[in-house]
Amino acid sequence: MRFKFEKRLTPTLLSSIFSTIIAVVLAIAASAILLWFVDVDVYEAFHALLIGAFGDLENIYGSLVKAVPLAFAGLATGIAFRAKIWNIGQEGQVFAGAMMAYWVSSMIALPWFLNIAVIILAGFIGGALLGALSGILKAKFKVDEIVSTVMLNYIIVFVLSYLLTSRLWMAPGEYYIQTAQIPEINRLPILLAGTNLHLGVLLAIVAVIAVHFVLTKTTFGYEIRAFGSNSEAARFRGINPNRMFVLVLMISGGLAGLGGAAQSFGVDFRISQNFLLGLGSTGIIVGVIAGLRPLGIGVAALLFGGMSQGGLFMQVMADVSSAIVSSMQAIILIFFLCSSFLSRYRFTRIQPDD
Amino acid sequence: MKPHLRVENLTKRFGEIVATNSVSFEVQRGEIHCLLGENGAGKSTLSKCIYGFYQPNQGKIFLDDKLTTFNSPRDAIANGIGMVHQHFVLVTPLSVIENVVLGTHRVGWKMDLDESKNKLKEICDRYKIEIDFEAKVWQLSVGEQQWVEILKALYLGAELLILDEPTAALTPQESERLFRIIERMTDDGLSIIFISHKLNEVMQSKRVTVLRKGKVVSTVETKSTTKEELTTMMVGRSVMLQVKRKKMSAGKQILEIEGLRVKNDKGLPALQGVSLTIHANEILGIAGVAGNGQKELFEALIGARNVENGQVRCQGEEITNQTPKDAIRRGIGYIPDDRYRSGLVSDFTVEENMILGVQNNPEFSNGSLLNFPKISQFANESIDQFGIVTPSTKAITSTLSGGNAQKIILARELWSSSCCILANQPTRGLDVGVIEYVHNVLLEKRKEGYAILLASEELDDILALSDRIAVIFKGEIMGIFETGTTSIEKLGLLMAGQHDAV
Repeated sequence: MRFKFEKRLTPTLLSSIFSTIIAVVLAIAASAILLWFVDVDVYEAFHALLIGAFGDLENIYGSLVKAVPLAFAGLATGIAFRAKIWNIGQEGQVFAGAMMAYWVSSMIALPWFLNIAVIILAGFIGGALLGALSGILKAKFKVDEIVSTVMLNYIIVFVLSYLLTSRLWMAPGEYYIQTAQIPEINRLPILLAGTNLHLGVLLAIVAVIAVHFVLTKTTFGYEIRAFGSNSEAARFRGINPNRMFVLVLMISGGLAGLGGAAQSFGVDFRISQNFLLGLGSTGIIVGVIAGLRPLGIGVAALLFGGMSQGGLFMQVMADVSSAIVSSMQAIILIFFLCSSFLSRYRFTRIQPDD
Repeated sequence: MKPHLRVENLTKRFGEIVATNSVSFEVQRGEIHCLLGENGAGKSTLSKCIYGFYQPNQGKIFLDDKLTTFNSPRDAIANGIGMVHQHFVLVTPLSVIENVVLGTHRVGWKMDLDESKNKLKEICDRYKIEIDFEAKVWQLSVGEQQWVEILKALYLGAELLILDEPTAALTPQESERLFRIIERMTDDGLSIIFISHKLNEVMQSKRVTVLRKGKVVSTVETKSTTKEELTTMMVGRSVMLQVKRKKMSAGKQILEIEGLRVKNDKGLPALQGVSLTIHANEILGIAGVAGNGQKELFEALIGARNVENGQVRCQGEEITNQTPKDAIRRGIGYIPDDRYRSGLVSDFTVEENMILGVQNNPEFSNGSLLNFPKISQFANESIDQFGIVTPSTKAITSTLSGGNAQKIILARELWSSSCCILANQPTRGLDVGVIEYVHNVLLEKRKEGYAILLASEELDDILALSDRIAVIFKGEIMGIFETGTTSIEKLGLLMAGQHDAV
């Protein structure tokens, strides 16, 4: 009995699940090899990872909180990539959202409820402005969005650096290069007393559902999907490409911005270059791994949040460096990307008369 | 007399799909043999197995009664089998002679073409093929390019020539010339297999093997059968080959096109001052080989391509350089020549494609929310009305056959259009049964008062459907005639660009 490996006509759900499981298994195996290489007790490391992520209620809450900016950045990725608009500016848009929210918060003094609402809105607007800029550059000047979003990442981060080092935003007498602490009245309220579950968690859940709803049930979501799947046919059928570029990048940027605002006003309570670093980029991985599907992005964000939380535990309990944790995330991404390729093939028996 | 080629019980599978199912037929030396069948009947797969491009799962191929196995086209070529594909594989910046010797495995590093030129000249003289060896391929017409492809095969010593849809891109005169030279070749002992679904071509053969769904229906002597009989064998039921068009007097002007100048994708002029008028109750047919500006004309009319100069008016309103959204709003329907590029989203479900372009219509959405029950209802009604074969409205469109996908476009455009229909090669790649359907639909809309602009490579279709015919060549209208007032010969000459034919 001989087998051969041949291409399927269409990937089935079963083959996708099967290949995802293989991807996870291989990813774990590769990570284990990596850990073994750096002389870490593999069992202890994975044990710490799991406990740290979901071991007890407190850790679960921690994972949820860590998942919030990842979910927002993941949704930003999802909505843009579904339109085949390659937003790689989540990193900068996260910062822009946090920065806009901070700036606005320093100027307003409304009743508590309105204050928070305005701050959140400012977070969205900050990221949206950055996204819209890339969209306009593409619509009017045909500037490739990958180029403009990536370059804006640098620009925004340097703008923040300037605002901080020029002492415009830096608190007087501070040693570290960061803003003053965000006053309590401006911080996102805690959902469950005694925990660190802030409003951002609820907003993230709402966002996941909202993006899912928009993509599947609204005419705009329909146009995004049509445009992403076949932009030429979409254009012939009345969907305006320029409108798509600007709107989608604006909303995408806005979602990432919300993530930045939620993180700064719900967890960090300060703006600095270090706190928000990497959230946007990880969001890209989250979005892609989830197959650009909003509900899946929620799950993937939770998993990555868990890995981040558990990673801290791994560092402490099993003496694993933080670089290894990032490497493990990258390994998982690579195996996931390969798994979607794998689901298109299958093993079949060679017929006797072939 | 032993046959030149004999195919016995050939079966070729692709995964679970059986493309050819136990096919047997034979070709005598010096015979013109036609493989006739609809899309998906298996004729292309069969010929690719004969040519060594595919290896059959089962079955045997005999050349002069000797069992042969071809592992690649190289083996087939070495055994005297040549193939001319429907889509040419020429290197356009190179000359004719350079293309002919390409890949012929000459020994040595010196490029000495004299010997090759002599050999090629001998072939051309034998069959009276006239072509300039030094001409660059891009300078040649489509018909001349086809001769280069044929010469490539003859140069390598082909004794059996397989031609895939040979007259798809030729004018009537060029087709005529092709078959005259083919006759000369077969008189000389060459065997020809040509693959076709065009009944006019088929009648030029000596015998025809009809394939349907991968199986041989029958092999018959061409002169003892009729087009109708062959169509019935191809399709499995009798099909009306020519729709009946009743004469109607044209109504008021609906679409006025004046001096249209449009560029193609390469920035070169595609339309050089085209002027046409289409009236209600009228079908204006555009005759011409594909690539003479038809695509650019239609795209400019619906707003998908920029108009450099000129004017377009619809029911008196100026619509030059409108957006596609405007065109849909104004009730202009568009049936594209490449349905999956400009008409459908292949990943979408049938019902999603049914509303592509009209998703914002209050029929299908409340404000920004899609109204799924209404969308499904519309899709189901269309499926019934147009006879679309699909397991459900939620099936993915790419799983449908070309004909059924085209019907989705028809259903959609007929629903959303109100004054005119622009149909660019609406029956390209479709089976005979569906072609009959599309023609009837167009005639029906004509009766209802629509203005219809129809472009087609099939001159027969243009003649059957159009009230007036405009011939297009290199972006210019060569002439506009009432159907029946001009001969096919004259139209063919105009299609080939000869101005003084009128």
